[in-house]
Amino acid sequence: MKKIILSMALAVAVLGSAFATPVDKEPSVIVKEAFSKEFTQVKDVQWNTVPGEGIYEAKFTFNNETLKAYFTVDGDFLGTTRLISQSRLPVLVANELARQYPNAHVVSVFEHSMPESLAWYITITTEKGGLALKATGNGELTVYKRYKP
Amino acid sequence: MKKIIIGLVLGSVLLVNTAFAANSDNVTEKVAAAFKHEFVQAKEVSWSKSDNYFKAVFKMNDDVLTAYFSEEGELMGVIRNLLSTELPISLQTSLRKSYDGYWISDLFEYAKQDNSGYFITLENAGERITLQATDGRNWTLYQKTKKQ
Repeated sequence: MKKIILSMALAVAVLGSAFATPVDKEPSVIVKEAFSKEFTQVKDVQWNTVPGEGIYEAKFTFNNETLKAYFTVDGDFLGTTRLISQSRLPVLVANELARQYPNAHVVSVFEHSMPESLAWYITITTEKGGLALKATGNGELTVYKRYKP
Repeated sequence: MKKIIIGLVLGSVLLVNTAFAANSDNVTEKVAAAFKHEFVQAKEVSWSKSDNYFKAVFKMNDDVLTAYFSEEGELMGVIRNLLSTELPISLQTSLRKSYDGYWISDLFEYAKQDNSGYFITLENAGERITLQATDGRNWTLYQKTKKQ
């Protein structure tokens, strides 16, 4: 349960853009082992912390892409985020986005993969202002946040 | 193999075992309207038809998609070929951990109605494995065959 709440907090934090700060000291062996268990053949690992959340963030390169993975201080894996292009959205999501917001400009798309679920956060601009949308694999889109024009 | 999987995904093996005749003039108004309703941003659409189904190959967001429609205009499913780097991260890391010695011979995303998933075929010198992911996070074994 705690893990789910932390994952949800993480989703909120991810949309808040740059929030992590460099750590004063390296994460514990438990956290590093948890990272190695989840990710093999990675490069350029940098550790940060999410202020006030007790969460470690590992930024690294995997398959030539930059990813961020999140862990609790106890080494529980919370999930990953990566910035992706619009064309990488699942077919159902891309199609629903085109249907509901045909004239929108897509600003950014984040894939947020958690142990229990997978979602995409899409920021768009329309004539009425900006929107942050949450999408699930079945094509369901919900407005997560509104930005005034 | 891919044809059989697609057929099962879309609900009918006959769908892909029947040759499609390339004739865009044969698409009915009902099917064309259904297509337009479903894929509002489709470009460069080409149609072909089997005995019972229509197939539309088109571009959307610079991707090539294939959609299948019944004669009644019902969308049976959509297929899109992918690169492994286009998979959700958890599926990529799972492949790295469990199938590092294999190469990918086929990978596609399927979608129909309100569900979607991925099929991947992996091979090594001795066997061919097909995995399916329905939740975007975990692979399950779909089929495994030994090579002769």
